[in-house]
Formats: sequence, C-alpha cells, structure tokens
Amino acid sequence: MTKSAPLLQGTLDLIVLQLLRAEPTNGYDLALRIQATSSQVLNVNAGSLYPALYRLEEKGLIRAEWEETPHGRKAKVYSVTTSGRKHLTEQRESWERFSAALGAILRTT
Amino acid sequence: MLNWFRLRLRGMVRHGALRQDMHDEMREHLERATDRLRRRGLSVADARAEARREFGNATVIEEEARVARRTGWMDALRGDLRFAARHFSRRPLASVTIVLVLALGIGVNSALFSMIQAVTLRPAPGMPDDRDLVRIRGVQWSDDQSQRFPRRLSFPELLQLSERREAFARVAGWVSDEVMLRVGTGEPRSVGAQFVTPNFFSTTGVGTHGGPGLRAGSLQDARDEEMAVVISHRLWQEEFGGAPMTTASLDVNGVPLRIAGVAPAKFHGATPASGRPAALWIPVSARGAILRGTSQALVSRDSGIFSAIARVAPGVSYGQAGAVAASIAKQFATPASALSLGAGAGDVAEVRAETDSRGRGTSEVLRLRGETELRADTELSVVIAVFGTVCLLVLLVTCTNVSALMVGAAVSRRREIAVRLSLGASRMRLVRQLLTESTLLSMTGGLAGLLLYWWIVTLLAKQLPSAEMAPDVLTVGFTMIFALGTGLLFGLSPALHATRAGVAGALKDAGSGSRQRSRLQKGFVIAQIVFTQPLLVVLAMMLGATVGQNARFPSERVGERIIALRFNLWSGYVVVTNATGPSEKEKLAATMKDRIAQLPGVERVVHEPAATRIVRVSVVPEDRGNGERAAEAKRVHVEGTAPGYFGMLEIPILRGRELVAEDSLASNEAIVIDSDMARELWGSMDPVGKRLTGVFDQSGRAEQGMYEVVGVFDAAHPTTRGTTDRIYSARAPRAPDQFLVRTTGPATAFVPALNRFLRAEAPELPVGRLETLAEVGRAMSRDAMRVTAGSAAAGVLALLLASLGLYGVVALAVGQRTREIGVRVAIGAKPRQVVRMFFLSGLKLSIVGLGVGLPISLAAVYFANIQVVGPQLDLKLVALAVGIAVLIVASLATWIPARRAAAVDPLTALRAD
Repeated sequence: MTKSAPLLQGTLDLIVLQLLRAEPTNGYDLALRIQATSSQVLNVNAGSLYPALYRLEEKGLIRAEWEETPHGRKAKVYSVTTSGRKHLTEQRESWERFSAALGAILRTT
Repeated sequence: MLNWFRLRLRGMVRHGALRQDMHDEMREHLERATDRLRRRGLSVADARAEARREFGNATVIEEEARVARRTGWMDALRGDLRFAARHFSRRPLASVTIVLVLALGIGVNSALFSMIQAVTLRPAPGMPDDRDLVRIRGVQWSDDQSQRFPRRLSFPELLQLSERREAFARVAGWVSDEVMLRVGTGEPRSVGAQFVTPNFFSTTGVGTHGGPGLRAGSLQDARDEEMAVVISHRLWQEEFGGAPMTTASLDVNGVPLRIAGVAPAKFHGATPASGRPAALWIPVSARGAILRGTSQALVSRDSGIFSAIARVAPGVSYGQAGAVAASIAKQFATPASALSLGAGAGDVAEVRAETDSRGRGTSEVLRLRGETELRADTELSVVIAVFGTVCLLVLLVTCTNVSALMVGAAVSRRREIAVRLSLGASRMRLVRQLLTESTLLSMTGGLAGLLLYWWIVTLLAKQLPSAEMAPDVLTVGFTMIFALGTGLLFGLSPALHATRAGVAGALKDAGSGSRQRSRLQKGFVIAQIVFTQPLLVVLAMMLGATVGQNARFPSERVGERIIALRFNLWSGYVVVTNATGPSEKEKLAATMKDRIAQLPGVERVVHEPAATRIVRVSVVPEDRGNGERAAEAKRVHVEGTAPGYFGMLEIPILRGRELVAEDSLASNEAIVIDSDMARELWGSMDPVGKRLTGVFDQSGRAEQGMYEVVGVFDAAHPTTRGTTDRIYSARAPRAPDQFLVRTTGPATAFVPALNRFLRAEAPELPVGRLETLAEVGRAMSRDAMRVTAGSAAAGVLALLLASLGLYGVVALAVGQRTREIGVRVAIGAKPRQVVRMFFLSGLKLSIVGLGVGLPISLAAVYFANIQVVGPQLDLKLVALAVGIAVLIVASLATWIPARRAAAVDPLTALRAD
C-alpha cells in the first residue's frame, strides 16, 4: 500500500460531494472509491469519513436512505441533494481558481 | 431550510433511533471490511482485528459524528440533569429549602395578585365582562369642594339619561332595601332585596332560569305593576332544595309574590355586594305595595333612590358618556330644606350633605367592574396600596432568599468546580451545568408554587363568594418569570465567578471562602430581615384592624338580649326638618316604639344612634388639655343618641355620666365621647365639663355649635356605631326608623312574637330588619374571621418564608466554616463557645436588619394607620411585637445550624473540605 498523502483541510467535503454526485453509494464503498480514484494516494479513514458524511447531511447537502444492496445486505446509501449540487459547483470553481493560482506560484522561479 | 429543520427535529425526537442508525452503519462498514480481508486469506479473528484497526476507535468516531450531527448538546443536557439530580439528593436540605421558598413566594404572591385583580378588575360575580356595561355613579360635592359623597339618582333622572340615545343604549336602575321574607309557613327573616327597573336583566345580560323571568320592558314601563320576584340561587337551594319550581310564591313584607325565576349561581347584583347580598329581585313597580307607600318615588325628582347602570352606545367613550351624565345631573339639584335618609343607610350626615348643596351634584361614568361605590372605591385604593406593598415585600423576600441560597450553594462548590476545571472541563460546560441545576430547581419550585397558588385561589373562591376569583395565567406568568429569573440570575453569577477563580487558589483554599462572599451573605441576611419586618408589621396591622372591627359589637351576653328593629319608612327619602314636621309614618314609628316598650317581656326601647352631621370640632382654648392633639381641629360624626343608650348596651362610663333626657335642653350640647378621644384631646386631664366648638354646614351656611363633655365611655366596649371619631349627643336628630329593643329574657325567642305584633298592629309600617344583635354580631364576625384567618395565614407564611431563608443562609455559612470550626474545637474551643460565636454574629446581623427595616416599618404603619378606618393600633407595641418575633425566628435559624456545626467531630471537620 502506498503512503497516503495528508488530506488538505476542507477538501474531504469536496471529494465526497463529487464522488456521490457521480454515483450514490454507502460509506464503505465511498471509502474504497476515494482510494481507488486517487490511485491509492488518498486514504480516508472511517474516523474522518463518517463525521464528514453526517456534517454534510446535517447541512442538507446530501441525503441518506437505507437500501438493499445487490449482496442482499442493507446499507445506508448517500446521494447529493440539489443544494449539494449547487454547493459542489461553487466549491469546484473556487478550488480550480485556487489550484490554478497555487500552480502559477509554484511554477515561478 | 426546511430540511435543516426536519433534521433538527428528528435529532431531538428520535435521538435514540439516530444513534442506533449510526451504530448499524458502522457495523455494516466493519463487516464488509472483515469480508474483504478474509477474501485476502486472513483468518476470521485476524480479519476482524485488522478491520477494527483500520476503522479506528469506534467510540471516538461516534462521538465526533454526534458532534457533526449536533446532537451532542442533548447528551450533555442529559448528563447535566443526571448530575444535578445526584447533586440535589446529596444536599437535600439546601435544595428543598430553595424549592419551598420559591413555591411559597410564587404561590402566595400570585394569590395576592389575583385577589387584588378580583376586586378591581373583574365584574361582580355572575356579571359579564363587557366593555359597554357602565355604572352611572351620582356624586355630590360638599360646599367647600373638599369632599365627595355618593348621590342616588331619581327616576326622572334615569329617564332623561335613557333619552340620550347618542350616549346610552340602555339605562337601568335598582333600589336596595331590606325586607322580611317568609317562605311557606316558616318564620319571616330579614333579607336584602333589589327593586329593579324592567330592563335590569336585559341590560346586565344576566339570564334567569326556572321560570319565565320578570316581564321584560323598557325603563318607561317601570310603573306597570308586576307582583313577581326572581330569587337568588342560594335562596333557591336553601328554601326549595334546588327543585324545579312550578307555581311557588313567596311572602315579602306580607305581600305574596310569584316566583318568576332563579338568578345564576353566583349572581348577587350588578355591583359587588357591600353588607347583605341581595336575595330577591323585585320589579320596582311592586315596591309601593311592599313598603306600603305610593308610587310617588317614580315621579318625584326629589326621590334620589336609584343606583344606575347603563350600556353605552356603540363607539361612545366613557368620557363622552360621563359628560352627558354630568350635564343631566346638574338639572337635578335637590331642595336644600330637606334632609334625606338614605335607604338602609345609618349615616344621615352623608346623605344630608348630598342634598344640602344645591347644584353641586354630578355624575360619573365608569366601567362596571370591581368596586364602583364611591365610598368603597376610596377604601379600595387603600386595600390595593396595602396588598400591593405586601406583594412587593413578599416578592423581595423571595428573591433575596433564593439569591442567598443559590449564591451560598454555588460558592460552596468552588472546590468541585476547580477540580473539574483542572481536569479539563471547559468553562462554558461548567456554567451550563450550574445553569441546568438552577433551572431545574427553579422549575420544581415554580411548579410547586403553581400548585399552591391553585389551592389558595380555589379556597379563597369558596370563602369569598362576593368576589370573582379565578386563577389567572398572566399573574402566575409574571410572578414565575420574576422568581425564576432571580433563581437563574443568581445561579449564573456565582457560576461565572467561581469558574473565573484561579484553579490552584480554589483548590488550596477550598470552601473557606473569601471575604467578599461573607460580606454578600451578611448583606443577604440583613436584606431578608429588612424586608420581612415591614411585611409582618403590615400583616399585623391588618389582623389588628379586623380583630378590632370584630369587637365592634357588644358581647354575646348583651347581644342575646337586644333586638335590632328597622322599619322600612317609605322611600328612603324622609323629610325630617321642622319645616315640614315628621311624616305620618314617622309618627306611627314613634307610637310603635312606645307600644313595644309596654309589651310584657320588653325592658326598654331606644333609638339606634344615627350620624346626623359631620362637624369640625376643636377644644375651647381655655379648656385645652395635655393630649397629643389638644390644639388640632378634628372631624367627627355627631350621633343622635337616645338617653340611656349606653346603660342599655352595658357600656361602662369611665368618667362623668351617661346622656339623660334633660341634656337636650342644656345651653351647651351635652356629649359623651370615647376614652380614646378623651386621651387624644385632654391626655391625663379629666375631660368632663370641658367644651368643644364645632363648625358645620347648615343649608349651605356655616353654623357654630358649642359642645360640653358630660361623660367618657370605655372605648374597649364599642357601641353599635363603631368607635372612631364619633361624639354622642342627645340633642342631635335621631334616625326615626331604627330602634334597639332590650328584652327581659332571651331576645331570640321574642323575635317572632314581636314580628307578629308589628304586623297586626301596624301593617302599613313594614319591618325591614328584625334580629338580635348577637345574630348581627355573629354574621359580622364570620366575615371578620375569614379576613383574620387570611391575614394570619399570610403572616405565618411570611414568617415561614423568612425563617426558611434565614435558616438556609446561616446553615450554608456555618457549613462552609466547618473546617474552621474543626480547628477551633481541635485547639480547645468548647462547643458552647462555637455555638455562641455563630449565634452572636447572627443576632448582630438580625439587629442591624431590624434597625434598617425600622423606618420602612414605621412608614408602613403610619400610612396604614391614617388610611385604614378602624381602631388605631399602638405603633410601639406593634413594632416591638414584630421585632421580638423576628429576633426569635432569626435566633432559632442561627442557633440550630450553629449547634449542629459545633457537634461535629473535629477530625471529620478537618478532613471535610
């Protein structure tokens, strides 16, 4: 397993929202997906993921429902709400601006 | 936003379910991780352990998740409450004291408030609370414009008022009288009756049941005769057992009346009853027949006999209606030559003043609620002032107590707070904990107070049927907010203070307290006594006043042998001046007096005294004595008194002699005064033979008279007229229709015989009242007993409140000094010395409190004494008695905890914090 990079403050919400928008899923699969999509670079442990999920639910950006999984299990499936989508768009824009700016600074000298 | 609210709500309601939800989700996560690891070839146990390791600390995660969900505060609250409950059960004394103090304070104060409200803001029992219903109150100014007297309205004045449709939609009136009621073959008895205009019930909006009711009509129909009666609910219950009535009839003054209906349960008239509540409502057209007169009263402008109510026209203000009523009142000046005797009124002087001054009459319009009688509402303002003061003091005592106890309780926990702070509790968290505790205590106290209030109000409502008492949300709310607010405020301030203190300092210095705290507590003890003292003084005064009034009647022994007899002289408007001479009825009454005196079994008959004028008297300069008010002018009632009156009532004459027949001829008007007035004017000198000059109004002119004291009676034995500021003269006119009959044997047995005799011999002279003085006295003392019991109970509660507070404060102070006590005992102090130390310091504080409170108490006494009509109380005695009572309570409250502290084993005390 590769060494995981520390997560930048505030980026977890963005990641969760982005991934859940692509496909509603449960906490466990979400954790795996974060690992997979970030090519094993980002490793989000349960201790950060679940509070983040509850926080987002509390803010009304995502909603949760218990659903039957294909394996015959019950799982809590999270999906992005309309306001979550709006929030994601805003956050993504500001993130892109930020990363572009940071990139520009890092490319100098 | 809606979603947010939904979640928050769910968080509150389904707290447990969410927790389970979270738990399930995490378990699911773990199981899937375990499966994944097992697929990689790990054993079940290893896979599970690895999954757990990967997952992290589940409890911490749950906790963080809960914070994210913001349901954490609920868990904290739950914890706080649990902790608070544990804390209280460990200190039952302090907690119970706070709850008790709050309950007493809130309960008593709200009850007092409700009582004030019932007599000022609520309509008479059974009457609707209607903005449009008003009282039209006749007022007469005295010549010098200094005094207002009640004025009754004549029927023509009522008619004129009702014609002013722009101001009054309806005008109705009634005349109050006493009549002899006889049901079936029973013995006749005196009851109150109101002779009402035909629109009385429709104007008040009060419905009757059990019959067709009185014939409805307008004011103009008042002369259409109808011999019917509406009876009170109480009479219906007592005489007919509440059974449905078909064709029952009653006998009133020998006149049969058909029962037309029953009034609602509480209803006893449009205004609160003063004296005897009405039991009968009879059309005013029947008044002539019942009182053996003509219907002249409904024609004459001079027959001012009616009390009036009205419904104001829509949109008309009380001010506009009042202006209309006042303009009509101006046209109804009464002839100055006549002296009228108010219906059922003993005080001729006050009625006289109404008629003396031509054109000074006016009318006022006021909303029909609370007391609307002129004399009653001035007394009412006194009652409100007194009760208001009591309320304020109770509230202050409660708040002082609660704050003292709260501060004491919080300060004694400084060590605990310091420990928790040093273990890492946040300040906010601690403040919240303390706040939860004070809220819990306050709520419990508030709830108990509410129950107490409910109980008092229901009890009062049963005891005082003349006032409409009902629990009131606003009152309770106000008091609760005040008391609970105090609890919270004083629960919070020490919390902030204690958490601000340095941890190390608090731990080292645990519990021994700072100088600042002890000053605060001393302040509380003093404030407590400062507020309690005037409270008790005022209550003692009320108690004294009612007990004094209770003693207004002669002893049972004398009362059992005297019958009070009152004829219903026609109309209550009697010309008694020499210009017209006595009326036929008066002559008949005088004849009957002589004939009654001849009856076997009768010892003597005398006129009941009547106040015929109010005079400003002052002692003739050369006769001035050394009394406190020797040089002051004094307003007194002149009572027209029959010779032999004092002897008949067995009132001891201390100096001089009683009035005799020759006194009416002497050049100076001979008077008998009471011993209080004698002391006030002449001090230790003998007042017999001393002279007073008096100035009074006679038909608008100031006249002068010269009075000479011939006797002094013992004020401790009151007359039937009350004791204060009255002089008894044989020359002044007497009431022509009121007599006292002294019998040789028990008077009760003689009453029916006397009634039969009067009916047979003088049927045209109806009897309004015929009962023994003992009966009258008993009825009065029943009322007085209620008031007395009420103020006594309030006094005991106040004392209880104060002593609870004192005890609590001192006990806490002693408790905090346990270590000090231990040290003292360990180095050789005897328990007695410890007790004495605490006892003396407590006593010192009490005395300081008494000293500070004294001026307030004296002010209260002074105020109440000049306002409350009744026997004057000895200021020094009251102050002394209250002072001693407070000292005793304070001493006990200090002594008990001090003794308990001294009994502690020094080792335990030193170990304790």
